[in-house]
Amino acid sequence: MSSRIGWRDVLAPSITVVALLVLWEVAVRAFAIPEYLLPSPRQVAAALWEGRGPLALATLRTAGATVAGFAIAAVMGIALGSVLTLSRWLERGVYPLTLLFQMVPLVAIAPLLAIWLGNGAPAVIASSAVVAVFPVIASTVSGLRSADPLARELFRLYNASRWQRWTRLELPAAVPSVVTGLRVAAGLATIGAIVGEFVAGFGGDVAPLGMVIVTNLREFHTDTVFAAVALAAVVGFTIYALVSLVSSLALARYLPR
Amino acid sequence: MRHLFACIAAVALVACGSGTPSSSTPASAPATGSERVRLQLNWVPEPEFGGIYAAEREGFFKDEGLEVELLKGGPGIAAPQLAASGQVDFAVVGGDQVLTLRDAKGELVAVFASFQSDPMGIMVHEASPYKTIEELWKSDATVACETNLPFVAMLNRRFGGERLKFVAHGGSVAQFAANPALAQQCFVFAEPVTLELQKIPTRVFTSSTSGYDPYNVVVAARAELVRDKPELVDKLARALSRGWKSYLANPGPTNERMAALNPSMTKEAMDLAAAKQAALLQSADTERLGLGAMTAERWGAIAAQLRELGKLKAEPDPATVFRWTPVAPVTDGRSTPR
Amino acid sequence: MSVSIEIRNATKRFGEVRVLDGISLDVAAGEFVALIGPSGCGKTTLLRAVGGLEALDAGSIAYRADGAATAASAAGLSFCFQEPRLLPWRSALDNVALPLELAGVATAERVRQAREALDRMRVADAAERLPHELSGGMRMRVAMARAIVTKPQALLLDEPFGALDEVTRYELDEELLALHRRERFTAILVTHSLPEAVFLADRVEVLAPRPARVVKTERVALAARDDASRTSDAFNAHVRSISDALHRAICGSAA
Repeated sequence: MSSRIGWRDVLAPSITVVALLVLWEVAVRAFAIPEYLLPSPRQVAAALWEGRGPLALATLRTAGATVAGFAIAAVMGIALGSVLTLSRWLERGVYPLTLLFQMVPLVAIAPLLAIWLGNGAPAVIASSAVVAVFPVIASTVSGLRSADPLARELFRLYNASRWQRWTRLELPAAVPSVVTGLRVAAGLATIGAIVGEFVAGFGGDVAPLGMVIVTNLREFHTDTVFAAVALAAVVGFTIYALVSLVSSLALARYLPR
Repeated sequence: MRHLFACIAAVALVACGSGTPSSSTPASAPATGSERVRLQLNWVPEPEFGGIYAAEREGFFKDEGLEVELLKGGPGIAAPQLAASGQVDFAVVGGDQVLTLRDAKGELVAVFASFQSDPMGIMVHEASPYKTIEELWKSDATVACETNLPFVAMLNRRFGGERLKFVAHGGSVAQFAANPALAQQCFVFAEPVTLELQKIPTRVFTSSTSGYDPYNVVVAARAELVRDKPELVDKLARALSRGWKSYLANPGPTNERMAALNPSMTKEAMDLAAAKQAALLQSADTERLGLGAMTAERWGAIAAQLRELGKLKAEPDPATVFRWTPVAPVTDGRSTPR
Repeated sequence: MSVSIEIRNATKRFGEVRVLDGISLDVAAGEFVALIGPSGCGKTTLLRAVGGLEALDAGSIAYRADGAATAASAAGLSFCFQEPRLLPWRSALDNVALPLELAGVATAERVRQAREALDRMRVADAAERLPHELSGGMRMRVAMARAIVTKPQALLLDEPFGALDEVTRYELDEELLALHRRERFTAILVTHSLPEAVFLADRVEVLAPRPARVVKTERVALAARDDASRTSDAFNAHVRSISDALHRAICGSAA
């Protein structure tokens, strides 16, 4: 794993993307697939261009909610994960519950969030944070646990305090695991925001991507739907890339070679 | 709710690129004398499908030599796309969808219009200060609905609606029940009835009060099927017509069956809903041409309105978007009109 | 300056297994003692008990500095394990400074002392590098530097060079010997290597297993300890003598 990205790392996926788009366009034409089933890349591009104004605003709205949801998930997840490892009792009693909550389908709880928090940003951000927080909790707990037992013995030998052990051993040891959790959370935060928007997003001129998807699907505007989906993917990928960039700097001290 | 999930399902359908149209024609080949047909509903069994389930219960499909498999809908069913791509023979869709799908190169033909008047509406709590749809639409209330529904567009055109705040229609009645200030889209005989039984009184403004009033709970098939097998289409329409006639006269037994298939709505609620919806199923056209009837004039008017609202680009000949062969008025419940 | 250690009737069970059963052993101040014996004979358990990492079921371990009794925590003990146990995210310097950091020594002072320790282990140029950038031998030198940075009065060595190749091991043996000559700390070394024990220790205690007991005490008398002495007759005689005792201990316990 290199922290530096070479031109090959950009070129190879770019070729793949272009090849897939060409294949997609050719397939849509060759098999005469109707728009309502699958629009061609050119139609999607056209929809993207024609709706650029509202789509750009929708993207910004969704991105804002996603970033907020991700930030809350990151802070809460690391804090909760740390608290859980403070005591064996807490860890045994609460940690399995967090795993259980992780299994609760978001589609089922998102409408509840809308009821509890009202429509608009609070419910959407909560929906984003709720799905994104669990991988952060889990990765924090397993990361804090992952500290080498031999190193733990060393700290015991040096009469290290609980605080010293936490700051100088467990937390640094948890960094790679937490970073992995944050990367997963970046993608989930986007999904959470979109699903939240499905049930709690504002419509009309202030519609975020999730609402753009829902409303256009009913009218079979699949080209605009695909454009919105692509933009949602861009939001998720951008956050993922930023997290990866920051984490590769943080991980420089951990990764051999 | 149904639209939201149908939308999600459509994404899945589209994402999977599941089949090109007419390339995968399922089970409409004759088997052991009777013809097998698959009819996809767009929601779970409810009184809006009362006549369909009645036709099945009373054996009207069998009388026509049809073996009809009713496929329950619900969250995750994109009924128009399934019918247009030939994955099912018939599907229940919204009247506007028959037309708007044409803009996306999908050709559906309506073969039976259960609701002559649109059961869509907007409900508010009874204590709401808004006594008319106009008052509501000129207020700054929050409305949970699909913002680009044609009748919402019509309301916007007539009353402005600039100050309204539109939010996603999550579909749950709970959200409406919890928020006394919320207005929400509904089927006039579904959500309000459920709420009434929970002692939450509502006031409902129907879609038709907006001036836009399409057919709904329309049974449609892909154009190819209607062209190739018109007699199959007519048989199905006849059986459905008899089914609705029977359901109008006595919905109880069918409601019992549907309540068993759909635990989320009680038979009591279904009985109430059946009574409420009865008027919407009948019109001057159905008096003349039988239950489920459609006319080219009406389809032309619907298309014109959709175009005017910017919801439709295609200009199909109204005569090509539906097929209706007049059904002889049924005098006696058991007699087979031929 | 350095500490003497008296082990009396040390007893330790792990479940049903009596690992230590009343073993007694004295280590004089500044003495270098090697414990040798078959695997599982309890020598590591004994060393860990001396270092306070393992509590005894019965018996006592007393530490005496300049004739006065002292607690284990105040005896200036330091451990060196088979694995370097370096924290992978810390530079060599920060790893060496860790014991001082945990003891609350100010930054400037602990950096100075850590550099000095690295210098003494002749890895000063590795100070800024991360553990994964170092060879196995260098990592062990850094671990040794960390063990001596606190200026210990007694160094407890648990097969410290067991995982290294022969050449590196010889190098580090000589380093350790030189270090001991300079600083005169008390040292207890657990090892599997007979030549290493003879080369380093003033006294070699051969242990038999289950329960651990001393079957032979070999006082090493060598005119000189250097590369050449590893092949001297005296050296070989000591190795043979220990080897015989070890062999008897294994067969005896098997019988």
